[in-house]
Amino acid sequence: MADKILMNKNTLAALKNELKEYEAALPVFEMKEQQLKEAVQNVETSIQRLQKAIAATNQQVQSWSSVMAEQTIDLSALAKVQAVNTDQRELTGVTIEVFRELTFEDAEVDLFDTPLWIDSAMEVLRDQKTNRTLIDIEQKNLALLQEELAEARRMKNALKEVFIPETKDNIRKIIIYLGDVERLAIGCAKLVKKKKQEKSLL
Amino acid sequence: MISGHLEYLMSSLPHLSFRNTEEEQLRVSTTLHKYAQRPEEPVSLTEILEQEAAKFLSEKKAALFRAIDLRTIHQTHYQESACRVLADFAAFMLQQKKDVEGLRKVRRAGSEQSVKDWDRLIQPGNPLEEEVQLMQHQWEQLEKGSIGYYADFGALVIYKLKLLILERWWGFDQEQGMKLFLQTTERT
Repeated sequence: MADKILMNKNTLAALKNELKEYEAALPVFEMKEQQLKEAVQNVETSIQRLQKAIAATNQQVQSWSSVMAEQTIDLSALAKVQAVNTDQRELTGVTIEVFRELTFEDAEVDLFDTPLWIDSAMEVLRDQKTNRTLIDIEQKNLALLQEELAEARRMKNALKEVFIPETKDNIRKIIIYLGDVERLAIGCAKLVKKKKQEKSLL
Repeated sequence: MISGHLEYLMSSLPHLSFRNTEEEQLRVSTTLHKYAQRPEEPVSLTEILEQEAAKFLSEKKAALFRAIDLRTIHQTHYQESACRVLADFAAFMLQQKKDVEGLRKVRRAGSEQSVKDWDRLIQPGNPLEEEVQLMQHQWEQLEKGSIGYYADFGALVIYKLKLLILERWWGFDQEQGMKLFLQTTERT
């Protein structure tokens, strides 16, 4: 906002228009902030839920993980990610990734020659990898949403703390100034009138 | 160790029980390591047994004895072996592997009723419990087959197979397994 303002009726009208726009924009940013806050909270909850699921699976696997020390097969070959498929979704102005599916490379497991535990290991490895991928996606989404939330919050605060009060103050100053000018003009007019009357009496 | 006859070898070997306790591992390992040719080198218990047995066996039998491995014991040449113990156990392992393959196929298909039909093979449990059950069946088969074999090649084969089963079981290391599991899941 300019430091110096023209103290006239045009500026006053322009400022009143600006104020109207600012006051209309404020609830929009407040609502956006609210929605983004909720979205951030949802994503954070989702990440926590996934982390809990990973921890629970790790806990459960611990009781039989000893079999995986048997080096009969390369464990990483059982859960090699082939593709992570996601969709894009617009959420309060932010484009986020929505997990669709995770495909794994075909692990050719010889059911006759490999130990029985391989099947369970493959299942939990794939589950854990899927959950970790989901966390990665959610964390990226979270970063985007937090950035947008900070921006919405900045805009809301700027409107609420700076633009609206400053505009209101400038309007008040112009109104006072124009009032003073008007009173001065009336005073002058009255003085002229009085002088004229005095002159005619003489 | 007294050399000369196989019965001396058999009588000097530690008794094996189907147990996975530190005490049992230490007892068997300490006794067998006394026979290690080069104690400073890390060798498996079966390698020590093979080295020691070779002193009492013909070259052909020593080679056959060395080649015995749980992963390949089901193969045809073992089933057709002149050593009755070996042939019987090879046939048992082939059947067990076929059964396990069948169970895995049924589990993958996801039919609960069909999976129940396999209860005779193993009681459902976690993968470790199931592996132990399978090893126990193998152990029991060897116990059954050991009747009448005390100090001959058949008895030595049974001893090696039992030791292989125990070494496999004792090799199940929770810390190492968990470490591998976590490394694999954390790798992208």
